[in-house]
Amino acid sequence: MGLTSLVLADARFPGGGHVHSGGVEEAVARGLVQDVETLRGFLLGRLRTAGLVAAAFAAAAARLAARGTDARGTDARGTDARGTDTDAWAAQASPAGAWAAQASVAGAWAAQASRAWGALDAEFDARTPSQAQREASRAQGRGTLRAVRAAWPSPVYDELGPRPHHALLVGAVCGIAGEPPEEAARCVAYLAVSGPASAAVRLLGLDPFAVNAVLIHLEPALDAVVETAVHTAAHTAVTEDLPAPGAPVLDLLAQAHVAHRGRLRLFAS
Amino acid sequence: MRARALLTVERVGDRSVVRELRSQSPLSLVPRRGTAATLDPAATVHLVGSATTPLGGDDVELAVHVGPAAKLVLTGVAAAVALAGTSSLTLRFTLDEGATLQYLPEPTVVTARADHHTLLRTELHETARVRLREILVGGRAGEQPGRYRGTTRVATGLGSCPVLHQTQEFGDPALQASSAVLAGNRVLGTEVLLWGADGEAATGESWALTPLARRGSLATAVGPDAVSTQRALAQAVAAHPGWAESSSERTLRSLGMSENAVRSTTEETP
Amino acid sequence: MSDDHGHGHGHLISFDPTETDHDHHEATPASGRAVRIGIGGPVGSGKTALVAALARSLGERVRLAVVTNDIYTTEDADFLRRNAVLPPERVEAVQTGCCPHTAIRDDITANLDAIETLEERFGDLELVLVESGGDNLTAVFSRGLVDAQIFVVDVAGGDKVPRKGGPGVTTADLLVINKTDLAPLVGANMDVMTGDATRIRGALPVITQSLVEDPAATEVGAWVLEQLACVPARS
Repeated sequence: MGLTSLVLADARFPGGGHVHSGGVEEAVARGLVQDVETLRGFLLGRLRTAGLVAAAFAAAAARLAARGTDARGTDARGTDARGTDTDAWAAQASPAGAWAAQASVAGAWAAQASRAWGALDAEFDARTPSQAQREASRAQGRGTLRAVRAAWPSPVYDELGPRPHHALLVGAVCGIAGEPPEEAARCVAYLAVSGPASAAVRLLGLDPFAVNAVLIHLEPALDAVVETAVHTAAHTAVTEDLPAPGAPVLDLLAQAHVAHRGRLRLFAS
Repeated sequence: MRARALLTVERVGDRSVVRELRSQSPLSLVPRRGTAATLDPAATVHLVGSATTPLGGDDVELAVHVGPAAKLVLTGVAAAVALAGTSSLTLRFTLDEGATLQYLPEPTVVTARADHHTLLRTELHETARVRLREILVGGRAGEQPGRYRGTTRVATGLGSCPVLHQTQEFGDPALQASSAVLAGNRVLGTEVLLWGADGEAATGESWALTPLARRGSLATAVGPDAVSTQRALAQAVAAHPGWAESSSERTLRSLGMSENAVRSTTEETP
Repeated sequence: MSDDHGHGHGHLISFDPTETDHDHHEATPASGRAVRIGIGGPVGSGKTALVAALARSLGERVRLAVVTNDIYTTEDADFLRRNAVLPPERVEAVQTGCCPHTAIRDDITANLDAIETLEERFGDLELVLVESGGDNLTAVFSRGLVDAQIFVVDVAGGDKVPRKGGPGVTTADLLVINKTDLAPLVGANMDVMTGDATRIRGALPVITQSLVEDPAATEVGAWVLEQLACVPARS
């Protein structure tokens, strides 16, 4: 693991993650999570659904950002550095493909990259039907962007807009920093469970050692998620084929959490 | 058994007619006929027969095309029970300008030894409306579910912009039990609504209605049995302003008719 | 349909502090933005009452808004609105994930988002008061979040508080010893408190006040106005 993904996965990373519980606050309020065992089940389910979507998109974003960074470098030497899978993403986003014809290589790359980022954003939205979860993802993306611009400056962020999905941004940063897609996937898959685990410790006063052990026991599941994420990001010709596992109760919890505005809430999600 | 089926509905005058209908065993498509059908501006087609009992080896594909301004209601007549062995069902819906489709199948029961896969792809014009219901039941009463994996993708407009892409799974005990996924519930109901105005999110004890990012809303409900889940899902759907508006219009229309009928009888009385 | 369902600016409290589309934040305080003053201190020391007093006394002269970090997310915001101190749209509440000190010191993202939301809503803000959630004596604001900070303690918390020190009492730009009217009732020795405070803080100012006797928080208000005048970033 490189320093970049290590820092991004650190609970002390100043990206606003500590105010999100990833559904745990509502699950605790409903008695669905009440001890270490029920937390374990919650985290495993979260990892294999929302965590897998985030990991796959982070891996895809890391690939795209790495290509963008390479392309900028090689464009200066007059070389066409476009990659085939990115072509496919862009082609999917714009079937006409007419944009590439007259433009310079650099211009074509920029347009292509822009479409590819747009396709990733749209596909992530489509896999996040809960409005509350999309908002939480973009809120963390925006917060992370502030910290990221200071530490890993890059023009790539302009493609992601002011409120990128957190997983896409983390993937992009890893790609820019030269880390492989696997590390990007591992980082967001870990964040999909580490934040909620910490929230459960704070909300229920759970034994932090026991919760930490639960995280470690998730390693085989986390490895499997990372492997699927990296594999699909590398081998799917189009963004559409990235995994899209649903988590119906997570969606219900997220929506209920924002609906109870008058109630005591310590977390933003 | 492998079956490829086709259904095309077109608008003729103020009615929608089935233009093309090709089905083969194990899939049967039965258009509703009779007086009620001729009064209805929408065409109704029932999915019947063995299509609703996927067996190991069954591989069924149905392509449905709803032409400009045509209306189709596609329903099931009985619960689909996925039985032992690998089976798959692929549905491809294409909706042209101003078309509407309501896909309202009965629940799909995933029995213990099933390995059932579904794919539901809908491409619709930005002015078209669609309502897609799916109710999954994990096993018959007292039975552990077999494997199920179903993907729903809905894309709209010229650029085929994705509005929803979700894969639901049954049959993995860890996911089934996880309070992030099914929280031990046996039944999952969803309904995609791209049907007029999408309002604010709404939520109840076991259901939620949430606007999607680009267009449409998704109603979701979970429950211990099909009846309570369907009831919760209906509550979520009722909270959708676009759907509520169009259903109240329908109610008003039917009321209008009966009011006229009442008036004509009372006028005759004196 | 877009993402802007259900969280428009019409809401009294925004639960998504990042709802606006522009990110104007810069790493260092820049000209043209509101001066940000943090108000911290232990639970019950009178932070919210002080914010209310300042809003009342400065509200007509200074274009101000408030961010509250109350742990119950709406408690302080509701207080400020109920007392008609500020119009609801000038108060933003942030969730702190059970960690009020983290939100003002280690990871200031949620607070920056709230401040920027207010700055975007009111293009001409001069002052944003950021009230921390009630915490302990070690909680201070990050310099990345505020330009100056006030630490509020009260006599009912015991007259040893200033002597105990801690980053809040020691380093805050202004220390306010609140509820002086209660000193005789709780047996607090004001001379001990101010003496310890002055000794431990060196040249940094200390103000003692009672909002019962001076509901306008006149001295603190004057100090705040001074900050507005002397923050060089405002050109």
